[in-house]
Amino acid sequence: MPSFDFSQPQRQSVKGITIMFADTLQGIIRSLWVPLLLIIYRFDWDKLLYFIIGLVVLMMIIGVIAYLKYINFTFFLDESKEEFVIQKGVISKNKITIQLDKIQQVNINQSVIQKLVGVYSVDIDTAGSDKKEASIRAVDNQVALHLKNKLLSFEKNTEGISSEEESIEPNKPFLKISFLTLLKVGITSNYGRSIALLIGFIGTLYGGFQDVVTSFEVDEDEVNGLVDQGMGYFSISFFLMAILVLVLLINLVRTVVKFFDYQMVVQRKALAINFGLFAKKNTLLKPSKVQITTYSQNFFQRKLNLIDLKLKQASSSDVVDEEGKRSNAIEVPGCSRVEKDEILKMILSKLPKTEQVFKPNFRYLIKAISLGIIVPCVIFICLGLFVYEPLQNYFPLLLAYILMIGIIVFFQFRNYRLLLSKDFIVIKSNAWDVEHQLIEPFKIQGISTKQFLWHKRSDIVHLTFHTAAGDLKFKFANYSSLKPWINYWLYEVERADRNWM
Amino acid sequence: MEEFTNSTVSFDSLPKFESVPFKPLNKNYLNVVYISNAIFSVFLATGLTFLLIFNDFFSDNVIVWVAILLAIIALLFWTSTISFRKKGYALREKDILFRKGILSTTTTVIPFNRIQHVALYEGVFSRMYQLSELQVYTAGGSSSDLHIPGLPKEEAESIKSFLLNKITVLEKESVELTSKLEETSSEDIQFEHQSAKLPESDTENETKN
Repeated sequence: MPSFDFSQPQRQSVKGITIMFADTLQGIIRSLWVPLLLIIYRFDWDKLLYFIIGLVVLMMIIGVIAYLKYINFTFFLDESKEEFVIQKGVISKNKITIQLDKIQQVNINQSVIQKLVGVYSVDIDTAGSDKKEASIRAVDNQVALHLKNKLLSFEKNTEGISSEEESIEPNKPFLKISFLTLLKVGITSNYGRSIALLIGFIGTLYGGFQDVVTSFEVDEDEVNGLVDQGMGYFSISFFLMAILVLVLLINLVRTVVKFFDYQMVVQRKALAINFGLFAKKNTLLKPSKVQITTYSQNFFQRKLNLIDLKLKQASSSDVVDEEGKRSNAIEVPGCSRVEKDEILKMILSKLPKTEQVFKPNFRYLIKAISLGIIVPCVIFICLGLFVYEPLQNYFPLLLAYILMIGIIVFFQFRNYRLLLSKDFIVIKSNAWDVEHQLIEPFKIQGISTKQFLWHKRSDIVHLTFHTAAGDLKFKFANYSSLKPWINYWLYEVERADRNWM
Repeated sequence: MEEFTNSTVSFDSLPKFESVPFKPLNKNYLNVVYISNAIFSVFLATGLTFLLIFNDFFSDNVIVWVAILLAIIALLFWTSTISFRKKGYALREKDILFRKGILSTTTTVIPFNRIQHVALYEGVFSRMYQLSELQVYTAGGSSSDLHIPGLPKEEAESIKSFLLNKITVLEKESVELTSKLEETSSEDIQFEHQSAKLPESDTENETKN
C-alpha cells in the first residue's frame, strides 16, 4: 500500500468547514467590531427577537460561505513538474503554484479552534512570499504529516558537503567583546532609540498621573501648584542633565544585558555566535546566507575605534523587528576597524573598494528642507496665528529647530553616497550614525527604478535594490550614468550560477 | 574543470534594459478598470445622496457637493486611464520587466533565476473578458513582487509555464551547489522529519485512498 496519494486535486478534511466558518466569522467580527459594540451597548431588549433572527440569518450566510470556501479549496502535488498547487477562491479564483525546491520549511500548526475540531493547518514557508498564501487550513493529522514529508523529501540533500569539513578547525574565538567595550558601546550608541523609549515612559507616567488626578477628583489646582513648586526646586538644566544620565544608563544596561559575554567562533566555515546575560542566544550563521552587511559609526565611536556591524540574513517570512523593518539581523555591537575587516573578509571573501562614487542631486536638499523645515514651520506658524495664540510665545524656538534640522539635513546630504565597484554596492547614509550598507550584486533579487515626471528633464532617478533581507534605496541619482551599472548588475545576476543563499 | 573565462566586461556591450520595448496591457482590461471604477462611483453617489437627504450641512449646498462628486469620479476615471496607458511589460531572454505609475514611472526588473513562484489571478470582471493577472513572486518580499494585470488568459498561461520552465531549468543547473536548509531552523526541520517518518498503519492509508 503506497502512502497517501496527493497527485489528484483533493479537498481538505470535511471538518474544515468548521474552520472556514470560524475564520469567516472572525473576519467579520474583526472588520465590524465597532458597529457590533455599538449595537450591544445600545441594545433594545424589545427587539431581541429581530436580533436573534438577524443572527441566525447571518450564521446561515456564513455557513454557506464557509461551505463554498471548502468546496473551492483544493490542493495537489504535481510530481512530474515538482510543483505543489493550491486552488482557492469562491468568486475570484486563485491558483498558487509552489516549486517544491523553493520550499524552506513546512510547519504543522494547531490553533484552539483547530484543536477542538481535531484538524491541523499546514503552512508552507517559501523565501520571501507571503506566508498566509500557502496555507492549508484544515487537514487530519496523518494527512498533514504525510504532506509535510512529501513536500520536504524533494529537498536536495547537501549535508554531506558540510560534514566533511568538520574536523580540523579549533574552536578559538574569532571575536570576543569585553565588558569594557560593551560599556563603551552602551555610552555611545542608540541615543535615538533610548530617547524614544524615555519619552514613551514619561508619557505613560504623566498619563497615569493625570488619571489619578481626575479619577480621585483631587483638587487639580492644589496638585498642579505642588508640581510647580517642585519644578522650582529643580532647575530646567538639572532636569535635562537627569534625562541625559537616564538615557545613558538605559543604554548601558540594555547593551550589557543583551550582549554580555559576546563570542564569535568559526565553526565549519560558519560563524557561531553566543551572547546574552539572562537570555542566552546562540546563532549559527553561514556566510553565504548573509544578504546585507551594514556597519555604522558615529562621531564618538570613531574616536573610540568602535564599529557597530549588522549581518542581515534572508527572512523567510515577513518577520518585523523592533524598528519595523523586516529583517533577520545578527548584530556585532562593537568591534574595531581591524576586526570589522576580518569579519567582512570572512563573509564577503574580500574587502570592498570604490571605483565610482555617486552623489545625490541637489534636489535631495529641496525635498529634505521642504519636508523637514518648511512644512512643519508653516503648520506651527499657522496654528499659532489662527488656532491657538499662546503658541506664539514659542516662535523663537523655531529658529533653534531650523538650525538643528538644517545641520542634520546638511550632514545627511554630505554623507549620502552610492559607492560602486564591480563586486560591491555600498550605500553610505545618515547624519549621525554614519552607516554603510553593503551588498554583492549577485545577491540582488530585482531592481526597480522610479522616476517622477518632473525629474525627467533633470535626469534623476530613485533606485531600489530588492534583496531577500529587504530593500535598499538610493534616491536622486543621475540616471544616465547609472544605466550602465544597472545593466551590469542585471548581467551579473543573470549570468551567475552563484547561489544567493 | 569547466571552461573558465574572465574577460573584461565592457559596459557598452551589455544589453540595455532602458531601451526595451514594453507591451501594453490588453485593451479590454481598461473596461475592467472602468467597471470597478463605476461600481465605486455608484457607492460614492449613494453615500452622498443619503448625506444630501439627511444632513443639513450637505443639503444646503447641493450643487457644490454634486460638483465635487463629479470631479472626484472624473479624476478617478482619468487617473486610471493614465495608469492603464503607462502599464506595460516586457519579457527578455533572462528577465521580466514591468512598468507602472501615474506621476512617476517605476520600472522593475526581475531576473528569471530569482523568481520563487508564479501565480495566476482572475478577478470577477476580468473573467468576463477572459483576462488574468500574472503574479511573480521573488524572495525580495512584497515590494519586488510583480502583479501584471490585464493579460489575455492564454497568454498569461503561456507566460506562466514559460517562467516555470525557465525556473526549473535554471534550478537543475545549479542543484549541486544548493544548500537549502535554513540554518536557524535546521534542528526544527530534522526533528519534524523524524516525527513525520513514523510508520503509519495501512488501514489508515486505505481509508484515505
